[in-house]
Amino acid sequence: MTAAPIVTLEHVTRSYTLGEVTVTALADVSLEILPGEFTVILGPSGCGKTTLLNMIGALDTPTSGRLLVAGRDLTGAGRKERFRFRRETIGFIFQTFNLFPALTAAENVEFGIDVAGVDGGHELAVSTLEQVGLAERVRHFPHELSGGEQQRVAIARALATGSPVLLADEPTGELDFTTGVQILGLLHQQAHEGRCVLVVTHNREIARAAHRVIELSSGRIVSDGPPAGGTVDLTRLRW
Amino acid sequence: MRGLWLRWYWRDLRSHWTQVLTTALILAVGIGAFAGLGGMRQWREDSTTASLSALRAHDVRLDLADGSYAPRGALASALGGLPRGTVAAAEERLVVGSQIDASRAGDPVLVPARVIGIPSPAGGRTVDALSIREGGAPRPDRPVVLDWNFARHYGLPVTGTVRLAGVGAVRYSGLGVTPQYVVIVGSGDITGGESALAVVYAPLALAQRAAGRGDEVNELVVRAGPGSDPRTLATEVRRAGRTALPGVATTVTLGADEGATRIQYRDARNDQKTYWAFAFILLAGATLAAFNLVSRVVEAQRREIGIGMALGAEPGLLARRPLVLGLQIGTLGAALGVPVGLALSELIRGLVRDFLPLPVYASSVPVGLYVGAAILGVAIPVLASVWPIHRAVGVDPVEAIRTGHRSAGSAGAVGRLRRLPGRPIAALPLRNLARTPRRTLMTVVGLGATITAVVAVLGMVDAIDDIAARQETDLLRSSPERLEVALSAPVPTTDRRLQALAATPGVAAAEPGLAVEGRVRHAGVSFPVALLSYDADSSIWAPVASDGSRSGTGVLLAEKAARDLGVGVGDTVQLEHPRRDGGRLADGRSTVRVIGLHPNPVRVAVYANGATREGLGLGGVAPRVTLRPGSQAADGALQRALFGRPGIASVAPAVAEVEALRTTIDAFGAAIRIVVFITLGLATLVAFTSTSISLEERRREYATMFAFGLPARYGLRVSMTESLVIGVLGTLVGLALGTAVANWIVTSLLADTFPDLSTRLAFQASSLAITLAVGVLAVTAAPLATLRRMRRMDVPSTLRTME
Repeated sequence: MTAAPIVTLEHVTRSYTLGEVTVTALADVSLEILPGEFTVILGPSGCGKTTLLNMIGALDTPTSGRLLVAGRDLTGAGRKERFRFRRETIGFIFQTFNLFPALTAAENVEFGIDVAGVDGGHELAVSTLEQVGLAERVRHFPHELSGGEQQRVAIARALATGSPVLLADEPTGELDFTTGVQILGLLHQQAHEGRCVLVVTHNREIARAAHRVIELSSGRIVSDGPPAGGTVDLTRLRW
Repeated sequence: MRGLWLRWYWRDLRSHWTQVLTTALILAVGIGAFAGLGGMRQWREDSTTASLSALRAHDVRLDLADGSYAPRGALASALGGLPRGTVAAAEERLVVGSQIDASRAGDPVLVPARVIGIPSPAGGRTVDALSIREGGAPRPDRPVVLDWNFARHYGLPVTGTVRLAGVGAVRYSGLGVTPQYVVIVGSGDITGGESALAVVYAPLALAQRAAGRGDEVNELVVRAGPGSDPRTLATEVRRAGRTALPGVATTVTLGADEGATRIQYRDARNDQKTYWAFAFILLAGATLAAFNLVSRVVEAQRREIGIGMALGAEPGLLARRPLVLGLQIGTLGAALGVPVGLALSELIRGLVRDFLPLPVYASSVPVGLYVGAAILGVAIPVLASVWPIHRAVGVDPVEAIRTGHRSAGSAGAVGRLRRLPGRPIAALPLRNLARTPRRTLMTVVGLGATITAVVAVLGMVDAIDDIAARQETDLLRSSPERLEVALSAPVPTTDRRLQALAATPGVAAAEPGLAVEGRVRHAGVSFPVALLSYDADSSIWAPVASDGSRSGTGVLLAEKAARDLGVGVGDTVQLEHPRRDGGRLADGRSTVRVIGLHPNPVRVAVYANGATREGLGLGGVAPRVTLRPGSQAADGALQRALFGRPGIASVAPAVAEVEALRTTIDAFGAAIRIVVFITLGLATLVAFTSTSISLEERRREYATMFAFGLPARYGLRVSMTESLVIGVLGTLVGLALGTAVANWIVTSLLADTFPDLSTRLAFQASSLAITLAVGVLAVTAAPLATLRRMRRMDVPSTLRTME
């Protein structure tokens, strides 16, 4: 029996009006994503990748179409409902990390835990940081960490909440190759544990390690399926 | 969870401590000024009331007409018929006009004196006790006490010897005051009369010797019994006086109507209006500045609020952090504001103590006002943070977390600035300002508010100085060394004594003249004036006409008097004045034409030429003589030569009138000068805090510049250029608003405080220079204080953290 999709988009369109010009970021996009899938959304800059991610993460709402995530219809969800949804369902990993500079690594993670209303607080934050290899860095502030370390803190913040959907926007964009691979490994592991992991990137090499690659161009899906040549091991990636 | 947030609040406080502290200080100045200046009227009124009570001030004073005396005991015994309990205490005294020579080496002090002969100056007095402020109580070898105001004005020692006309040398034991002479009131209800009048407290016998009288008195002061109404008592005292001395003219004055008492309460009330104006200006300036600074600090957290919202945190939860920061600023501001207010209040009270020699000063603190100010202090930054928080949580999280989102929306302005000539790097400061127009506007408005306060306060100081300067220009325009000799009684202009006076060695020119008190009236408005004569062809001094003419029949009114009466040249006014009636002066009333206006800013002087004097029934009589000393005469020599000469009541230099006005103005201006310093301090604090916040806001940009190898001084140059633009714009705003506020203060509040003086806005170049120095130079230089922080900036760390 096939698992029920955790993300469903039905003819979703998102357009913005900038002055007198209407820009369509996503045009009639329909797709389903299953739990445990490591999905990469691929495409050049401006193709609508981040818009799609923001939509699934309830940071944005569709102009038309229907959007369901983790069983909730977000199509007409109000601001408050979307806040609650994000707390309970989504783990965000941003390209620019978006850590709070005045909080230590552990506290940044603890913030995510507290916001999600998950028990465990500090202990859970520390153990999650240990999982991402930052056991020695729990008391460090973001400016005392390297870019890769900061991204790992951001991942720990997303992981610690136990959210079923992990959304990562160019998570390796600011990182060197080795650190990037480490980060991808962590995300892979989350998919393996049954979470839905969506990674937005323009890096085709990263897509090779995904279970599924959805390619966008000008706001439309131009291809959807496993990577050409099948999913490769992370150790075989080069960029 | 709570621990995390508490640590976060604490780190926010630590990382922004300079901004928090300086913004709190700015607030503290505002609310401190509000609380410190707000309670001055109550304190002064309480002090006056307590002092009048402590000195057992009289409720009623009966004095006999000039030249009339009563045997000692006659006035007091006349009260015997009053109902029991009406009178608590009564005392007879002799008040004598005289002259005093308190000259010291090279410093002539020769002024009219009023000797107050009292039965027991040393103590045990039941009415109008003598309060010794410095020195000791009188004793047989030092029998007199000098008025503290007079001695302080001329810098006389606490004890010493003076010469009194009709008495000779007399030693004084100290300096003191009585309720009636706590302040010395000059003509036109202007204080500062001590420059031209020395009150001397002496044993009754000594006063009688000075007057050349036997055991006689001419005044009775009475204190009402418990529950006795002073007005009823006044009526009974008047009746008793008439019964005891039939045919002798008497005047009864209520204690509450005594010039010194009336003016103390009036000044407390009027000065408070000015204090309130300054308090509100400082509070408004500090509020706007604090609002701007708090908003900017909170604004800097917008991105973090956006991240929190993206992670699903409730806006209410995220709003706590900036609210707590506002609360921290407010709490610290309130905590500092209370001592600032107390210190400011004490400073102003100290100044009041300097010119108002009361025996008792109230110690009360207006607790309600301070509590209100403290609440205001907390509320201002909290409220200031509400709007930026509202804006921050209202933004879509996806917008808020976008790097550089704050530059959005200003592309137009930046685009226009892109066309500025020169290298892009040179245009950076202007572009920085243009790409954040809201922040730039808030900073300009915040600085403008403070500069408004500076301009308003300086404008008031200048307006006050302008009054004295105009009077000096008018009165000392010619023969500034001239002397005004008041005669004991008016004499015919042909009198031989006048010729003798003119022939006194050292006199280059002498002109008999008129100086009598009167009242001018028109269309329901009236006020007291001094009717003075002039000769348009005078070789000594004559008034000038700023409008109309000096010739013809009629009077020259002060411009201010004409404005207050609503008349102009060619109109007529009613003049109440003495008139010759045989050998004496009787009350008269005339309708006179206004032939011209004179520029003296004091409205009391009404000038009449020879022809007009005749029409007023005052021709051929001279109660005063104006003398011009010869060029060879030493300073004060002529005054000394005329001292004590029979028939001469007083000899005063013309400059004394100018000094009297300056004394009054200086007493008032001292408090304002404190406000000037506070305002300048406030403006400097605003400049520094604004720069400090700018550095925080542009931290990453500076780090990028330094990473490219630009030295810290380049960052400083960018910062200083930005500050210069802000400073110029803020100063322009402040100058425009400040001029409007100053104009309102000068034409409304100051005019209320000094109803006899013509006030106008007259900025001095130095004030403009101070304003520019604070608004432009200090603001431009403020980034220098951040140079160390720029140099010590950890560039890699700053760049590593994504914002």
